[in-house]
Amino acid sequence: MTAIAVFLLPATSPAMRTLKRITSPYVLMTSQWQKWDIFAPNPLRRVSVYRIEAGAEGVPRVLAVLNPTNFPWYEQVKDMKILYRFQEGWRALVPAYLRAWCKEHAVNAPFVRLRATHYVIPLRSEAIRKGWGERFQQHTEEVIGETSCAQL
Amino acid sequence: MTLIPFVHRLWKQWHQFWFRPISSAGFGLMRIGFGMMGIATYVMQWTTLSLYYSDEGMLSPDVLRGLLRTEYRFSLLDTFHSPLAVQILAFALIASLALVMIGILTRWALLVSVVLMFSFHEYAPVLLDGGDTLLRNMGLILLVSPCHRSFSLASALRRYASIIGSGKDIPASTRTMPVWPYRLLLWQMVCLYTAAFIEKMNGAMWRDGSAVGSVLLHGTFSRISEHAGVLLLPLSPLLTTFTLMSQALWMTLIVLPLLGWIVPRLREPLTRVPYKQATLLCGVMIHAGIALLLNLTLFSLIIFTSYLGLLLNEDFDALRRWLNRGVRKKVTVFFDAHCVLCRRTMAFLTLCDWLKRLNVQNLHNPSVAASYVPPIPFESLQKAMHVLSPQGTLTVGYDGLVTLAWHLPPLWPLAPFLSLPGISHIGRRVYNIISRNRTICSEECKR
Repeated sequence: MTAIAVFLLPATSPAMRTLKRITSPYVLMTSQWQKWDIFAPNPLRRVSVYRIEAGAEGVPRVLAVLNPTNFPWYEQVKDMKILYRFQEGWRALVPAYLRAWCKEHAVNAPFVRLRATHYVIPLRSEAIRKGWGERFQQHTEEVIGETSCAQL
Repeated sequence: MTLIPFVHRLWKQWHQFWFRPISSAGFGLMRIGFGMMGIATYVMQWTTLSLYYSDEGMLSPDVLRGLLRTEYRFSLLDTFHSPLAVQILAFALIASLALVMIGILTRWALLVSVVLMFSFHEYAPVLLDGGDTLLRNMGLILLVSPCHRSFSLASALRRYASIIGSGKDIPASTRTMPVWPYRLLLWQMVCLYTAAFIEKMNGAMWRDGSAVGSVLLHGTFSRISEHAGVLLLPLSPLLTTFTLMSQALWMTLIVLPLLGWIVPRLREPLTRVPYKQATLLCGVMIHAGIALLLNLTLFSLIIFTSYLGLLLNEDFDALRRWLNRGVRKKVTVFFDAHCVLCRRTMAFLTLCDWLKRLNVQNLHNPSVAASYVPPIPFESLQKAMHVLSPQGTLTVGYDGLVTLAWHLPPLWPLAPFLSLPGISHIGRRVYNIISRNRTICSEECKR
């Protein structure tokens, strides 16, 4: 019980850091690690749609569009969360994701990339100033990973 | 000289705090929910097992190396990660969860399911959400607790055998457990909500009341249209505050009892404050709202499963009193103890008597028929089961079973269908055939 509480508390002092060093092995070995940050510290305001494209930059051929409606209802949130996590710190997994996708869909292309298009839900004060309709105008695009599926 | 009584008193309080017996029903129900949620999780992931967990998918060991911690980490999938091996392990997990749910070989099934679930989680933590984390921690608590003592097939069979053999149920004390697993679960839930509250209070959107409104406008998470989300925006500050308040309430489950222990004169007044019920009620409202408005798959259901483990004797008693509020008298059932099938039927109905509404009477007891005015003829009692409802209505045979079904929670889903015209006609005929051909012992049936 103590170990779980210590695991969740921030390491803000030398004493806490020492406590964490002592209790963390137990928590990790028993897989009781946990972090309760759903919609925290702030809910995700970025709404993204993803595209898998092939071909050279500038002349892309869209192979698939990945938004919630493209997944079965029971996989929607999980699969979209994985894509969101790619953007947030797991970019190293994107090439492997694309290669697995190419294998599943029998795609053979030298350049395959995952592109995200997103807009940001405005904070209330911004929305009140600018009006609701404007939030759809400002989309941002970014390529979050690419690989080659040439030899699959 | 005063040291020994002090130490003795302290030891008694310590023992009481960790080992006093409580009903194991809450943990039994949580065990069933854990099995169901685990099965649902991995059945839904079945088609993507290879993609996410095998060496031919996106999370092969080579890709994961360097991304995952290596210390204090164990996963069977580190060794067995071919697509076929992953499917076999997932199937074993689902099968063991089914055994956990039913309550057969529960300890072993829990051990297998916990090891396998942990293996899947440790292999690919990038796939996990809050529901998976809670399920994993719930599994560990269930593993170390005697959750098999209630609502398990094994315990039902033991009780059934006892009722058939001796006419009596096994002692209720065999369906209790020490309180310490409950304390582990309570602590886990308090840590969960307190940590979630603190994390949210670090966010400006939660502090300014715009958080819930923003989530309702998010196309990935929200079930409602954007137009509906905009209409609900004025409620965002209220809903945001209520969410935060309901999470902060969980701290009262630790703080108030601690206060009562430190200040003894507060102990009794605090027992009259329904802070646990209020906390659970707020939690149910929040998570029901999440299930209704947001698409977080099984998250709310997993939370509700954990709440089941927090139900104690007094909660079940209160629920029973509430469900029995319109029932002034018990349902009297007259059955033939010389009839083998009747004894088995009554044993089954006794197991279903969760609301303790049944008053079972052996018709061979001379005073039984006389307890109903006008008395029921003995010959009539022998031909079929008689059921006397609390309102004084007497129903016989199949109709008696239908009457009973409305009073026995496990049979509630069946009760409306049993009264349908075609079904009841067939039911009466089947009952009469069985009744005419049942085995009668020459004296009270022995094992």
